[in-house]
Amino acid sequence: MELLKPEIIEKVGNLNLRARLVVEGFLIGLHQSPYHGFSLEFREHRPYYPGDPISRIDWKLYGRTDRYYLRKYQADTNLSAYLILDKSKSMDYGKAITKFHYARTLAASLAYLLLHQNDSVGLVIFDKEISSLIPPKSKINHLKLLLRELTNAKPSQRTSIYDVIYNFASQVKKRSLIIIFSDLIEDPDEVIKAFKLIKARKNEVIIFHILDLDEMEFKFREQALYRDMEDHSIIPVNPLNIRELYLNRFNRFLEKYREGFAYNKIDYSLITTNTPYNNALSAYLNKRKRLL
Amino acid sequence: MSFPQFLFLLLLIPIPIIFHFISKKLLHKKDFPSLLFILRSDRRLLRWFLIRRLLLLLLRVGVIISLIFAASNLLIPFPFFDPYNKIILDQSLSMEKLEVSSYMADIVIPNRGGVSFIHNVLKKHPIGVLVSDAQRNGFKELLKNGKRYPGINLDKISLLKGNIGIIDHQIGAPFIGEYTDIMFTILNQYKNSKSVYISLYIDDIVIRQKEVTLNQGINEIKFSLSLDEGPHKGYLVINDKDGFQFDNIRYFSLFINPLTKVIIYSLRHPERLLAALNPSFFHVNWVKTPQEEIEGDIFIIDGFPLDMISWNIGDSVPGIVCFSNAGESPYANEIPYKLSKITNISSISPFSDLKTLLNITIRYNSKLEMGRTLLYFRNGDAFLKKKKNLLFLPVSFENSDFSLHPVFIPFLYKLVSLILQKDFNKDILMDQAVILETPFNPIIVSPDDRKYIPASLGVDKYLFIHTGKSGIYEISDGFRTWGYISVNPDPTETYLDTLKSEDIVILFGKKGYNNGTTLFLVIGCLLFILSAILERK
Repeated sequence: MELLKPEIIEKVGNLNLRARLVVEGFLIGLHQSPYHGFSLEFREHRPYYPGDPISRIDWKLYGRTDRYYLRKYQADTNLSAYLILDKSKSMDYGKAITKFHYARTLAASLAYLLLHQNDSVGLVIFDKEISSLIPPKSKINHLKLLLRELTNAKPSQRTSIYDVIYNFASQVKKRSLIIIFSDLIEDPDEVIKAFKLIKARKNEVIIFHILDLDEMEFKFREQALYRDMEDHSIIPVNPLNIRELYLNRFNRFLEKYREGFAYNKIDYSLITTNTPYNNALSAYLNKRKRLL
Repeated sequence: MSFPQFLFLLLLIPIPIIFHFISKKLLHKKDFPSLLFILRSDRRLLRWFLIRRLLLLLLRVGVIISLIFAASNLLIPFPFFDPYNKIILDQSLSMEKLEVSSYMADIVIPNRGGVSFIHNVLKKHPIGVLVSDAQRNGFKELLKNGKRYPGINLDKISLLKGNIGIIDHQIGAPFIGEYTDIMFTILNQYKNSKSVYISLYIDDIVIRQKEVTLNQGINEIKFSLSLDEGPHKGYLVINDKDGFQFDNIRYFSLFINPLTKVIIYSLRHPERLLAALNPSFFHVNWVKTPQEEIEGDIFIIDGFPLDMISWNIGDSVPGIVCFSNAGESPYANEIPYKLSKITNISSISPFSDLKTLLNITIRYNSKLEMGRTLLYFRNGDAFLKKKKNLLFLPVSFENSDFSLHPVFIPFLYKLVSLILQKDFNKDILMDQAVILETPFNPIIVSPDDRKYIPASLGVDKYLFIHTGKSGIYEISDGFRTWGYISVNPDPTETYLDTLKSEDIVILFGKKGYNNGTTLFLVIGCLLFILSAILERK
């Protein structure tokens, strides 16, 4: 698991390799095939045997038949998933590893995982508008395209999540799993509103809210001119004086997202860039499992 | 002491300024994902940030300047202090002595003695210089707290344990043929008796010199002198065995009157008057018949009926008219215009009434002012007044107890000398004005040979005001010397009084100090605290 620390993974230059490293390392840690139970499509029931996971018992069937049956899913079921990556300038923040690098690796890993699960995976990269959109495909060769696109993406302008998601929602015709990688630095009400729209179209949404620990803790000491990475405004700051104020505001900001996404039943994972990838993947898989 | 060499450290001031501008350029800029949670970007905030940095710079420069000034110990005149430089000069007599110590200042003659000392001190201390030989107790306290008063440089001046000074002198009957007594009152403020040399100079010649032991406190030294007729000047000097001269020179002037012929008009034999005037320098004749006319210098008419007086001796003949009746005087209501001239006679004059007159001690050098009306008026009546050359006394020498009083003889002498008006001599204190009554245009020659012509105040009256230097001033008509004015310092100077707080205030400003070190240290600390507070903001 030590190898899955982001700063170590980031040393591997090739994104393909990184994704593979993450996923395979993750799978080794699980000691269980990930290829069962992740698909969305139900295939059949089978009788329960001692040792089977209780969570997979179909309780509704038990209610009808008074017997234990497990739900079995079709492993090669093709799921349409969109990986949506925020490449706004604010994502470029971080010391050992930037938020963007972390999000990119995580997205690549999930692409790798999903494609090897025979799901179709698409990719959307955006800042203030969608700069790149690759429709979902399930071929394994599709991974190369995705990874190339991810590799070429560079953080640039400011972000406008609401506009992007709103536009994107109109383009998604098929029911899909939409996975967002972003720091969500925008008005939470607007962002929640946008995802609510996607959710309303029968899509499943998973949000990876990626932040740097500096943003979470604000443990700076030296006063400096702080420059907003997106709008380049400058403000003199003495961190010692405003830390408490900052943390209050920031926690209120996070709380708003938590409450808003929970209320709309949107999966939300707050991840800092020092969180090992397997944790992030576990969070995803656990949530998917619960979802299914 | 000041250390102006530290002012070169002011050259360091540009360092924080340069650092300020460099650091402004190198000011750390930190990229942050969003300032949403810090504060809204606000130009006012940025402006305050820059102003704060500028204030910090100014405060830091201020701290440096204050520390440099504190180290330099400069004395800076502040608007709320006295804006003028103050040089306090000790005007005690000892400061006039040149040969004793190079640190003493001659405050009178500007090109000698202590002037160079003053200049040297001024170079170091542009403000608040005290030049003194510190012969007063108050200066000892100043020296104890010398560090608090850097404007004073008294380190090299030895302090005395006490002082000896002549605080008064009296001159007895100054008439020809008599021994004139001169008595000096000397104050010894040492804790023990002190042996000193005393030298008496008359007309610049030492005529008495002796060693005396002065007890602690008041001592009286008396000299009896036989002098020639006319004006004389003199002074007494006290030296201790070390030759150090104290505030101990006393100038005096005296006039030896010629033999005076006195005619007494009295119906009865005037025993008391004769007893008072004999034996003396007076040649006295008694005349009981008023019609008799005898040549004399002065007439005393006592106990004589007014209607029997021959007034042909009237206005041109000096004399004293005495009345047994102390009530009304014959001129009580006839000279009202003279009342308005009585402006300079103090209501507390010892001559204000008879009772006081009989109880006072009339000193030989009492300052009876010359004037047409001498003393006190009550209800418009002249108690004692002079009309031209006559003094009218509402008291009889023979018939009242006054002639039995011990003051009678000196009082009589004084009256006679006033009437004779031959004595131009004056004994005054420094910086006092002198009104001279002379029949000629006087020229005053000061001790340093300067010549002054007094301002005229009317007929035969002149005002002389240039008495800023102690010593003997000569009254001359250009050809001969008519008299002298002796000018002495205020005798209270001789007393070792503590320095008055007003003196210190003059030196150190209204707030009591202008000590550069303390002041600038305080300012520096305040600025430092302010900068620390501002930095935390």
